[in-house]
Amino acid sequence: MLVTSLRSPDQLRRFLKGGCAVICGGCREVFLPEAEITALLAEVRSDLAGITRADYLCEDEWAAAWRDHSQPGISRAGAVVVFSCGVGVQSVAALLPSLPVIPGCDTHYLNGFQGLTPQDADCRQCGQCFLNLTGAVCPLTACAKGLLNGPCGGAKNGTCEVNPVLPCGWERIWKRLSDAGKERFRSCEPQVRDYRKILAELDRRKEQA
Amino acid sequence: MLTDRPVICDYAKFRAKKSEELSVLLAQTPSVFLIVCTKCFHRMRDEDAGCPEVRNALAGCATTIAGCLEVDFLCNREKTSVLLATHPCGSSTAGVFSCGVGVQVVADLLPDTCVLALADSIPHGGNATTDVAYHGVSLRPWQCAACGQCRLQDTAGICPVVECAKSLVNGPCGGAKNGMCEVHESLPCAWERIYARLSAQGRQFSPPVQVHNCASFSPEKKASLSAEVRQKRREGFPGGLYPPDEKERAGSLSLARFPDPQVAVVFLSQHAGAPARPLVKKGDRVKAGQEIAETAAAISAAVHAPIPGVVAEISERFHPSLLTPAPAVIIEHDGSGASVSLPPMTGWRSLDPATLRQRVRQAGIVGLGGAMFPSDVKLNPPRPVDTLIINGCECEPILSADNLTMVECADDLLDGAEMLRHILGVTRCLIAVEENKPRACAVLTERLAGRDDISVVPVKTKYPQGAERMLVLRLLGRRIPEGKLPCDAGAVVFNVSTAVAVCRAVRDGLPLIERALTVAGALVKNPANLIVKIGTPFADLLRAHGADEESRLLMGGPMMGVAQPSWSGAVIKGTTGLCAVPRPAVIPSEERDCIKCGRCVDACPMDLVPSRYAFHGKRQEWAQMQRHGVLSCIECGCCEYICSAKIALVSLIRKAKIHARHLTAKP
Repeated sequence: MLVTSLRSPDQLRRFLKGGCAVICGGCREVFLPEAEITALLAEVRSDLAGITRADYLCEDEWAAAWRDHSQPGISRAGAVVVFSCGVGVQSVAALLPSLPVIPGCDTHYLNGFQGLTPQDADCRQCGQCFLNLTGAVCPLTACAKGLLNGPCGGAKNGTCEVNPVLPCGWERIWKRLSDAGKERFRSCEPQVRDYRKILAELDRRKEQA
Repeated sequence: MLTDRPVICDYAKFRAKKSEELSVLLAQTPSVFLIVCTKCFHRMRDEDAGCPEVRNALAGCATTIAGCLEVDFLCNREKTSVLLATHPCGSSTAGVFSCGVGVQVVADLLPDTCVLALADSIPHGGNATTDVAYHGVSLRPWQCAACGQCRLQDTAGICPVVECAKSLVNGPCGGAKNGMCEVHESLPCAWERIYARLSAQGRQFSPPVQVHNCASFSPEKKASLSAEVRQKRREGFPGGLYPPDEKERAGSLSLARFPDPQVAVVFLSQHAGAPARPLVKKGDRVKAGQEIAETAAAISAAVHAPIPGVVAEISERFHPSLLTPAPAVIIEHDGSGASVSLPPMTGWRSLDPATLRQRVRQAGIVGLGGAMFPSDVKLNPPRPVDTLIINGCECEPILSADNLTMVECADDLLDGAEMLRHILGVTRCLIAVEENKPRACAVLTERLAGRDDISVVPVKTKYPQGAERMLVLRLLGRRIPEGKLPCDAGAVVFNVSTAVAVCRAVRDGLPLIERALTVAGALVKNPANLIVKIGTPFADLLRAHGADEESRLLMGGPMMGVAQPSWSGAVIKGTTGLCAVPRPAVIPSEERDCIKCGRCVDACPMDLVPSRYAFHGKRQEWAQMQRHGVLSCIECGCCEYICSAKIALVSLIRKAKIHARHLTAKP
């Protein structure tokens, strides 16, 4: 899941001059700094080639519809400033290869999974779920170092040495494991993360396509 | 190039672990309770029951299956917790078939149960070195690693963090061969693509050296943003949305009177229930306020002439709510000021409730919030009630006529509320006003100073707060049972304009021939809040206020408003406003496929699973939709608003309801 924040207005003003702005409304109601964007655009209004709105620019079909719908503004523009998450910027850039496409927002990562609502829990989509060994607390996301075979030993009073706000993931795992679970963990082979699983996915998808 | 990369058309986000792995995992477990996430697993199909993939995967194991719970979107914690409470896990071991989030949610909700993950999440990152994030809801080739320091302005819109296997941000590593990545030969070199596109634009890559700041977004900030979003979603009632309210333009204007139309189109059906029976014929002369059609059944409402004049004809005209031609009385203004009214009831406090209720019926009053349910019927609840709620939420964006009615007609409103309370015989009366209407709140609070019989309750702004169910839940903490009415929770809800109409009908004897409405929207030059005669043609109002002919016209607000195919409608009792807004680039369609993003499920205030309606509706499986609770839907439109696949969910739901009623009507 994502949350976006406005990029430096000074930088954006440069591109907005003679540029066309597009505000993606798909995730607007919770995540986009709508008020700040509106204020910035109001300030530079006279220099703008157009302000357009779209929904879910991440979906290329809608992005193409936005481009056709907003042709007058885009054709006058020297650049397109996209207020959306990073996916929206890329899909617009792919549609308008001859125009500079500028991100209006920085995108930040929120816990969750693939377009669903923000959650406490997170999933790194590693392709080799370790939760069975770790009392259903994910060592990749709960441990700052993503260690798979036990704690690093750097925790102080149960909190992570990387960031004292984080509880030590491995301490959480150990508390959570039953006696049998601890025994199983001790007796199993060391865990190795197989990064190939991620890139191999590319091949699988290509085969399907 | 991007086009060479496969478009992800497989919506699966997790898959079963290998059966050897599962046998080892389940060897020590005599029985397992299966919890299966039926979304994000495969494309939706008719019946997800039993999930054959899971059962096949477990076929080789000696473990017995103690039971199976299937959940749409296991990751949706609130909904999963409700289901787990009503379907107790029948074993000391739960086998969860979902992505990693689902497993963690279950483990958190069942702290004493051994929770096993039976599936692996499918990686969608395409890049080994970054924190995987999958932004945007559609499964398309573009990804965003949410690094918090977007560089796309320097890299021609191609993300080096995601697209480069090494996530280099300052240029290529030099290891690419024939344009392909040395890490993975099917991956084109991102930096070559970036250079190609930049040179096509006549640009160069020339920013200062970029440093990836891993601390640009702290875990505390992430956690607090997550929590804030969840808290807003749960606030007051589960689900709902925060659409931009756009009330500034119209909200600051006062109520103005719109002149009488030259021709009034007065529909015989302007209410829920049987259409009224006409009392006049072509050529008859009528006075303003004269009854021209009488109630035709218990649930029906009388209709009165809004202007004095001559009945030109009784014929079918385009009905703005039914969206079909419907019978209407056409009255041509005669220029006179002739009017009639009912005898005023100044001493109404001493009259018995039945007499007052009869007056409400005579005056043809219906719910003016848009539902148009005859008010006299609502004033005779089948069960005892203890609270009257006056609804001043007006949670629809753009509309502001109710807001101004509260500000400018506060005395009539309070008198009306007292009359309604008197008729219902209740002591408690609450006026609910959303916090984005501070003026209305202040005026009413001032008028009510020192009184404890009626109170103003400011409620947090959230759509659809004005829906009866959400209001009763927020104000009284009572949940209206599924398929029941507010009176089943001891409450009756009336819109503020209805209360004003009741006051004028009782105190002054005025039948319902005019109402307040808003004419606004981005494509209206001069937005206004108007008091308009019923039957005024939309075209008169829209031309007078400079609406753009190319706009999309909605009767009502942008969320629940009925899209009008033309300007040929006329004001009916339920016309809360006319909004002329830009036509969207993409119009929702009934034909599109659900991509299972789950947002509709999160936004639905009625705890339904609208994605099911998208699936079954497209196949016209109305009975299935009924099985999934479509009759409980309040048609607030949250699901359609948030739908990332732009499916016309509301129209599918309306169709299913018509079919469901048709099915139940037949013996």
